[in-house]
Amino acid sequence: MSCLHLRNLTVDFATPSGNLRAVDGVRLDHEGGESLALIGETGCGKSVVAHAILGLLPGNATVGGVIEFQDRNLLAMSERELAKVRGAQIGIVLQNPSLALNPIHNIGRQIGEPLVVHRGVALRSTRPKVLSRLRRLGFLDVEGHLDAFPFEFSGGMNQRVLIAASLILEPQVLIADEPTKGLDAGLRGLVRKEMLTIKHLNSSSLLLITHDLELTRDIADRVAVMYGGQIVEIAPAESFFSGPLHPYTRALLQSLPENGFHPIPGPPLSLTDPPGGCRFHPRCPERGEECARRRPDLYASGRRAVRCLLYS
Amino acid sequence: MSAVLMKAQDVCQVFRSGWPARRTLEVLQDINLKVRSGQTLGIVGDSGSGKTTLGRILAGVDRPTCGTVSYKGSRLSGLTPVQWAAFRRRVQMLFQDPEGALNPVKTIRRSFEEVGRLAGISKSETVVSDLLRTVGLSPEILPRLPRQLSGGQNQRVALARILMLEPELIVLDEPTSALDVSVQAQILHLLKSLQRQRNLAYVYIAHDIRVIRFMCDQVVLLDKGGVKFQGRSEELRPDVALSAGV
Repeated sequence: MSCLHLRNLTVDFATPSGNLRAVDGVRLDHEGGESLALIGETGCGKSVVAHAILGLLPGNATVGGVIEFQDRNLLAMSERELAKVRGAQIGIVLQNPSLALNPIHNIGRQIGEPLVVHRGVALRSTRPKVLSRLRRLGFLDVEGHLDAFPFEFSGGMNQRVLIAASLILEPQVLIADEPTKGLDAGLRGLVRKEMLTIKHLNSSSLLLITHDLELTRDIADRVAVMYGGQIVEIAPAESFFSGPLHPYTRALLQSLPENGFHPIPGPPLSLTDPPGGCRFHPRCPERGEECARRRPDLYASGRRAVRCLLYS
Repeated sequence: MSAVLMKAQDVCQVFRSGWPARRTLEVLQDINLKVRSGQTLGIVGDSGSGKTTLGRILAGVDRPTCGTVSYKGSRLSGLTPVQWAAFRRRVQMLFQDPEGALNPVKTIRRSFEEVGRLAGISKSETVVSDLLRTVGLSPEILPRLPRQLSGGQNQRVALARILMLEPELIVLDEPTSALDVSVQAQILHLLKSLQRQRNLAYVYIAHDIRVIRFMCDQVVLLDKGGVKFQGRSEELRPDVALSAGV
């Protein structure tokens, strides 16, 4: 059962130095109930995909293609229609809890607010549901926490508050955008635990946007890898870690601590001036002559797909 | 064995809060360590174990409540203003968040000029360009703002800016924890190569024991402000590290 389909998704940004294509022809099916991790290095376009789904991109962005959710194209919806989907049917946990939470509203109000906005429930009446959400996410003194403000909580606690607010309407899809970015080891462990809780307690499909491969290993059922705005590999999580196909994915896994911190050679790709042919070819240890000339398609076989001429 | 650059003896740090100093929190107790020229000393521990506090004391950013820190045999507390200025150039600190370390409204070129002005040195653009190349960046980034660069590029800029001051010791406070794994690997290899080329000493603060093992000769494992293990990094047993939350 698929619930979210991206078809030839493109996102262009008009910048002073010219047009920048941050997402280039992404095609992805997110199946109902699964945890799909969209991974890649900073600047590869993965967060742009998440923001495009929810219509949260800035004014200089142009989005093309189709984002199909429950047989409707989100890109063809008016802002009013999209506002009904955003939060209620597709929730998002943004990457920086200290910026995503309102510093002058208490925690209880911020978790209950989606019920007020989408369901017309009085703020006072949201209290039992807010308390229940906080308990499920491991808060102990839940009554005492309702009147607390974000500055009184640690980063990890605020992250859980964001998760509680995102889940209170029980959306069909939850997008978690870099939930561990910039957190230290202890907090990363806590967030990983929260993500596992979401996975086990909810029927929501989870779209995890991350560069954290350890989090991916723990949470994801399936992994899609992005490089330079394109999907370069899709695989079930197990085979992704045990037998990656794309040279970029292999290089990425080689840079993990347990594999000896081998860096990917060459400078990161510039989206303002991407190379012709395969985007990874200037850094690829397995490149052939054709790689600089021919742009590879995403070649699919079973549950796996890879964008590399080695598999054409 | 190479010469001792820095030595900490019986260092402790106590933070007081409330009025009149009703609550005290002892964040470091009885720290003794040596940093040798051209070598890397790792400081590892769980969140709140006191590793950043210790790093700030070694870099001269904070003063310890008790104990002494010496640099090349001279106590920091006894340095004259001229000696202090020289110490601050020779011992530098690289922070976890490169974007926080660079002024967001100043171009990379201005950032270099400002550090040069504050340190009383003048470096030509050719020297700055060479420094950027040393850390794997193109001089084309000089007119850009930090937000126009990636996290890894900004961390390289921060490192190049430090190298401009020709330091002997750099305190690296979780320099890769905000970066992608692939960029982390690049920065770690870059740091090792710079150490070989310039005989730099590092104090490397991290919570990840794998990074410490890769980078460090000696390691100090902190647990609740005290030293739980001190010795060669390969001698730190996993069960001891785990018992300190690492």
